[in-house]
Amino acid sequence: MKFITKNLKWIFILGLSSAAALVWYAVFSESRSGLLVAFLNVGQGDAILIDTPNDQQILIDGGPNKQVLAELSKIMPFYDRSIDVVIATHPDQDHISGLPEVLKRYNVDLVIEPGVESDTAVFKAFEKLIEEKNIKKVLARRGMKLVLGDNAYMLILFPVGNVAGWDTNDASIIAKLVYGKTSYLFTGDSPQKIEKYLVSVEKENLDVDVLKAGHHGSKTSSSESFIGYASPEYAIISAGKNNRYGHPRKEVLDILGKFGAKILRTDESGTIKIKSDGENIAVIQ
Amino acid sequence: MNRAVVALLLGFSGGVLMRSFYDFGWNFALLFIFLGLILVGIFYIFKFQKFVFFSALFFFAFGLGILRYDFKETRNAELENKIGQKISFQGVIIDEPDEKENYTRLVVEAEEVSSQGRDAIISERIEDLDKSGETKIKILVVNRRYPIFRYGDRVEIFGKLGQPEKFSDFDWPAYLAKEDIYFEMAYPQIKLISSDGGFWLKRQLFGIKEKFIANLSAVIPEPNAGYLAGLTVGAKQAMPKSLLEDFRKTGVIHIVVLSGYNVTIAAYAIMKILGFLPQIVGISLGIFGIMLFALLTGASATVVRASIMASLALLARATGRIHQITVALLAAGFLMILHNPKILRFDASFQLSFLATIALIYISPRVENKLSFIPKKFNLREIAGATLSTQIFILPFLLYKMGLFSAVALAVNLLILIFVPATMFFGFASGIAGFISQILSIPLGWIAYAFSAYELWVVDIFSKLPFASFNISISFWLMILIYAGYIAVLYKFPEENIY
Repeated sequence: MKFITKNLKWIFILGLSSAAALVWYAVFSESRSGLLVAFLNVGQGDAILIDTPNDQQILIDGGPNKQVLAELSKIMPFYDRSIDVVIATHPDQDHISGLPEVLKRYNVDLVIEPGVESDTAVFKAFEKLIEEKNIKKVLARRGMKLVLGDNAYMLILFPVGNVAGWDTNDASIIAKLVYGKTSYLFTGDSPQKIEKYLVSVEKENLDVDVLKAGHHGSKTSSSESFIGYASPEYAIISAGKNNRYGHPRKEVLDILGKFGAKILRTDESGTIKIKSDGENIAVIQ
Repeated sequence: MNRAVVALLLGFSGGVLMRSFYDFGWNFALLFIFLGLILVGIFYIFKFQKFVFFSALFFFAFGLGILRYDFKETRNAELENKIGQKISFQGVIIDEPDEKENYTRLVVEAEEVSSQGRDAIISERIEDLDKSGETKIKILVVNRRYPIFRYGDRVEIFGKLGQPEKFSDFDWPAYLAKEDIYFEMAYPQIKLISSDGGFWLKRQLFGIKEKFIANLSAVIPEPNAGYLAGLTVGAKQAMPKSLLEDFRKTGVIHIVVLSGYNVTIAAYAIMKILGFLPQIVGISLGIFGIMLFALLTGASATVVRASIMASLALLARATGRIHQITVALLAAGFLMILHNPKILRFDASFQLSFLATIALIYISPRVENKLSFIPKKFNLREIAGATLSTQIFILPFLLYKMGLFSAVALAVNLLILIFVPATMFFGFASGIAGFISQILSIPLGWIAYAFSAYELWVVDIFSKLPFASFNISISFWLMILIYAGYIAVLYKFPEENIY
């Protein structure tokens, strides 16, 4: 108490300077420009954060555990407690286990799901939270477009119709993100047969700059024809270090290499951030 | 200090310790007791030197120590026969679930067990349960993160019964045995029956704690929120494995696991801030803070032990009545070992808090005298003294137990501990304000965030240094030798008027 009265002047100055620092921190972190896509380092699983030019945030999948929370805080400013859209590509453990914790801690406006069920406890917990928190839920269907400002949008390529009762991987949401002349393709765990289908109906939409390789680089995904049409400049593999599935498989790396994609892996480089100004993309360290 | 009491305490602890390493049967214990009695007789008849009398007491207590340990070692033979088989049982979750990164550990106390399979009518009651009413069978259940279970949940479980097994360098069975857990079950089917088991007050406390942590994480991002939860209410969950590893490397893990050390620091800070009030008020509030912490963490045996130690250290520093406090400390240690003899060897938290308390009481004041070059402002000198003395004193133990020497521990502790009281204060304030309104808890949370960001930054920077930690392992006997050396030095150079 005596300490406080004696040093009132200094405490006052300290308070004011921290307030000033906070304001400048906010100004700095809110003046981000362009589009940022971050493939988060969550181990064996997927979690991708998109920060749009209009400062909307989209989270695709939540990884296998709570690790996603710590990774989100590294990118978002500390006071930002909201994520506009959460996309759960399909209800497998390594994609949605982190999402209930995300819903608990962040204000989420919209959840997008493929509409396939799972009887795992984590899926039930996720669905229960969506209900409890009154979050709007939309089932993804081909042709849906999420408009993200003047020059950016997200287009759903899959699923086409009702996928209730399907194998969860088959039902994965496939989405394309476009900003100006740059584009990204997110494929969840889609297997080759779905890739084949897309090659037959969505050829013109498949050519992208950045591809998240399907199913953590498993050889059940990334068929030659699909990679050929996508012909990405960068291929991202989201897998855990020394994972027990042996992801990514050498066959897949070979195919990606064959079509000239530069391969970036979360098990090697941690979180991978790719920035776009609408004209070019750049990997940032 | 009465030497006879010391001989008894040392003998008892020695007996317990020896028995934890070797089991020669209880006849061996009787031999020691007999030896002790004979020596006492010899002492009185032949009027020998006092030394004989003390060794008589020592041997007598040594035998009692072995017996106490034998008595503790009870297993359930009937269930042991079922290891490897599928069983189903009903039980209550009797401890706070321990959330790890990818799974959760539940301690379930079995009430009824059946080996017929899931759908069979639950028939077989465990024999021992009926007879003594005291032997409770605890099973450690490893479950996925979801569904979430809580303390007091009554559950029905079906799965394969297993036994804990040693990891490469960690005696996991012994660690569990100190809590009387001899069985394990990995990823069984679990069905919730009701949520009214356990002790109602504990259920309420854990409920409050859960809400408190939710309040923190609503306004503070991870991993800072998890760190603050560990610091303020000893939350077991929430910190990523890699971060915990960094804490270990830099020698500050003790502030997030329940060593009671952070509580001592915080309680001491409360006392200092309230220094303008009469001393008795300061001490009372300090101890009240410790009790509040113990309650909020669910008052597990570990926390209660650590809190008692912390209170004693606080009293010693405040009153300077070092002899009385020494008696109290030894008595407390003795009672804790009497209550559960296994903690002496297998409970790192007990061992650490006991050693840290000794360091705070005896060594810290001496060290502080040598630190006159550090300013007294913000309690800098005291914190430096406390850090230095505890670090020096627990070092041999850490080398024996973990085999990890942190070269940066001293620097990191100094850089962090100065801010721990303030961090705890704002963390607490934010979490409690959250019960009233989130708007209220935001500004407090941001201040706590700033402190925690600094502390995590320090840990991060230092853990990345190439020479941050080395693997150095010492043997049990070398550790004992070093401690004997410490005691000899303290004994040889008594420092008068250290307070």
